[in-house]
Amino acid sequence: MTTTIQERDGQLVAVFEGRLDTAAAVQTEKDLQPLESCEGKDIILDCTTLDYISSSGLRLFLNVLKMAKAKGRQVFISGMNNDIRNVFTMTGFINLFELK
Amino acid sequence: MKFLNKILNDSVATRTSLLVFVLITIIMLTGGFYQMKRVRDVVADETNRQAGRAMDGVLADIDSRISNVETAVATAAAFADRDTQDESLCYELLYRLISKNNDIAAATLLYRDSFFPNLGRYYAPTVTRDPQTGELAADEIGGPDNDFCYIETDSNWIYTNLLEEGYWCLPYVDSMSTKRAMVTYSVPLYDAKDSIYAVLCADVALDWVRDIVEDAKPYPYSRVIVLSRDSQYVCHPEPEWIQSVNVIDQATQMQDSDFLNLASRMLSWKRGTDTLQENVTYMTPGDKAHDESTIVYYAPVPRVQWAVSFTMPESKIMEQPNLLWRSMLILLVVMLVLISIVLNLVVRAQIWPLKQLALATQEIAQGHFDKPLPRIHTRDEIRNMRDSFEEMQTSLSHYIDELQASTAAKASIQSELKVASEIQMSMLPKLFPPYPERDDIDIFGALTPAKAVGGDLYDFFIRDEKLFFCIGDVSGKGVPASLVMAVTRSLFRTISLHESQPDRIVTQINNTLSNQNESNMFVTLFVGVLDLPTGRMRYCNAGHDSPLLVGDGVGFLPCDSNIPAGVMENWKYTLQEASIDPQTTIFLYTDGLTEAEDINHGQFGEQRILAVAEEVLQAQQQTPNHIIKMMTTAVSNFVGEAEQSDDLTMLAIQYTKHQLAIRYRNELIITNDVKEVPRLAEFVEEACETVHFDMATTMQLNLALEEAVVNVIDYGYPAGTKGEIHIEAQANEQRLKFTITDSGVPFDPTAKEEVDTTLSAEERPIGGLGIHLVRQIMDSINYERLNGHNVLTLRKKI
Repeated sequence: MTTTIQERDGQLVAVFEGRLDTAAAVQTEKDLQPLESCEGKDIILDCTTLDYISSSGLRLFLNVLKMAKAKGRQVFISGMNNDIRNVFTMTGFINLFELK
Repeated sequence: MKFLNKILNDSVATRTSLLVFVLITIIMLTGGFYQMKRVRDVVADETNRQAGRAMDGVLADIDSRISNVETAVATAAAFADRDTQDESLCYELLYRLISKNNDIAAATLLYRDSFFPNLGRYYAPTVTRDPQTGELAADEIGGPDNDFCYIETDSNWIYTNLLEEGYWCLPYVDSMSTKRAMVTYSVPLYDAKDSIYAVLCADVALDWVRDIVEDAKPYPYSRVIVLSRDSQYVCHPEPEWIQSVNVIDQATQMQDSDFLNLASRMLSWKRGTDTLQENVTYMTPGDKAHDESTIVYYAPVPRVQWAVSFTMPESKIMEQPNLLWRSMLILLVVMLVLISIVLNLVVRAQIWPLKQLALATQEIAQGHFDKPLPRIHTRDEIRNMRDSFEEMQTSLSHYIDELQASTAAKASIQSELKVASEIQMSMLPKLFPPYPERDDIDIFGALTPAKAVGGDLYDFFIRDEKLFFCIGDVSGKGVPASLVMAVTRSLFRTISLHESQPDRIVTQINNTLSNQNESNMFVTLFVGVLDLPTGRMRYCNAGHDSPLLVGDGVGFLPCDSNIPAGVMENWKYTLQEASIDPQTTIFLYTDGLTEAEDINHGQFGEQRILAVAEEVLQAQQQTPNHIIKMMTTAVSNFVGEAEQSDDLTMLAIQYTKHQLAIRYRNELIITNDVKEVPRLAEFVEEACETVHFDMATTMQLNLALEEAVVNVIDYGYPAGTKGEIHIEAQANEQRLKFTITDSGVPFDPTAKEEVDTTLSAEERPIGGLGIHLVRQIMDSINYERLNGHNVLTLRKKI
């Protein structure tokens, strides 16, 4: 599982690749730290290459959302495949995030 | 009669008028009669008086006229000698006599035979007065034709001869000249030898008698009758009867004894009054023959030996009074009619307000309670009645309003009760079979409340492959019991969502009920949790009847009685366990079954329940439907006509699990470290492949398993402790199940509340997502605590 953070068009993009299970979540949490300094920039969570997410991963996404909202920034998700989308739907997270 | 009835009873005015009319008529008629009698008496008296006076007058008149004649003749006789000797001087005498007396119609000297030898045998000079002209004419009427003068004949002369004094003869009709009724006064003339040589006669026509009497009669309608001493009529209204009818003969012929008596009396020269009652045609000719009451006044004229009588028909006497009477009656009738009419109108007018009142009251009686009563301006009894009516109307109106309100309230209570009953009934599971898709459980329940709403309850639901069920009986009946029943059921449902241990469920129910229990109502309760995969039942009894187990024989489930819920807070309820074999039916009931009464107050009792169960088991038909049906029939037959005394509730649960053959089995053991999580993926994939799940499902199962295991890793063992987690995969033809076992602290992930996925990010708690996902993905999750291990089973249908 790898997490990369890029900046594109004035937005911060976090690209996830692989399986974000509970074990991987430990590391991913650290990898997402740079997003905290997102003043003036919206965040995009790119799940195009994300194969799997469990509740730990969802928790991380939620943290990002809460943090960005506190700073007045928006968070978008892009590139969910059907499986990932199902998980978001089951948990209702689909309503929390805007899709891009 | 009916008509009279109608008149009397239909109208006050008519009745009053009629009564007044009748009364006044009676009074006035009575008075009238009395008065009339007096009037009649007065009139009779007056008539008598008048008649008397008239009679006196007549008598006096007749008497005077006759005495005048008598005196004239006597005087002439006294001095007759001078003239009588000469046959022409006698005419002078006669002229003198007749001219001085208008009453004398003829004066005659009757010489005895051959007194004047040269004049023949018979010599009777006479001077007559013409009745019409009054001229006097002399004549000589002696001759054999006038034989009354002579001694030889049987005539008056004889009597004259025999008398020494003047003599009035009987009346006769003057056949010679004028055919008038006459009477003659004769005075004998004596010569020196004292023998009669001549008779001086003066004829008196009796016309004047009639005239006198006619003039003197007291009333125009009186009739005069004069009788002479030979019972002949001297005077009579019927001129032909004069001197031709003998009254005695007549009376005798008529066979009229009264008349006869009267005539006799008259001819006895009596004076008096008589009343005759017969046909008086002979007295008053010209009238029609009729019986009439006639009054006769009679008196004698002794000088000539006549009897004079006045007759007066009583009808004539009483003519005036009768007219008066008649006119009085007419007046009375007219007056009474007028009075009646006026009275009728007046009473009607007085009664009119009553009539209006009656009409208004009628309208009020139709239901228009607001109709105002007519105004009455007087302050009399009618006004009083109207005011009383008004009071009555007002109070009636209020009463009706109150009644309507209370009836409406009652009706609304009734309808609310009905709705409450419907609500209560709808709270019970009533769709049977409730889980047709399941093959391991069959349930049937029946509840018949004694009143509209009852205090019995049963409930069941399946959560995480466990059947939670309960049955209970609230103390009392009716609305209060039904309210407690509703509360208890809600508590059962709510608490069981996160609590799987029956004793803890009961404890919480008990604490809540006891806490709020001001009315000291309590519930006997039996709560059971049947683990459907294993048939293991945990239960807790709170004062309720022990259920029956019908399977391997018939017997009661051993139950601690504890105490009913709601009695005492913080009571420690005991947890019990039993293993239910497949095909066994758990039969639960309330004391409405055991205590069902027949008309003799005998109870159904446990023995009968056992008997029915035995019978059912014998036939190997212990399905819930059948058992309850048999019980219902048995109770119904037992109770018969008696009224249902308590709510009757039964719940039957049959465990019908079949063990299916296991097709696949695998296990994995990991340590409680998240790093082990990736190992799950492979494990799950292999199991899923065996049962031919697609990739999406496999991924989901992977997720579910990860969440479940991570839960155990996070909470299962105390922090820092190392522990093992054992995961087993098992598949039969129906499902794939994963069983996660650990020996950590007792932790029931299914007891956590559902995550509210509708909350926003800010509101969303961090935890709880894992179990939520597991529930979403798996068909069922099931937790058991067995032998110090947490055993979580996840199942997915194939």
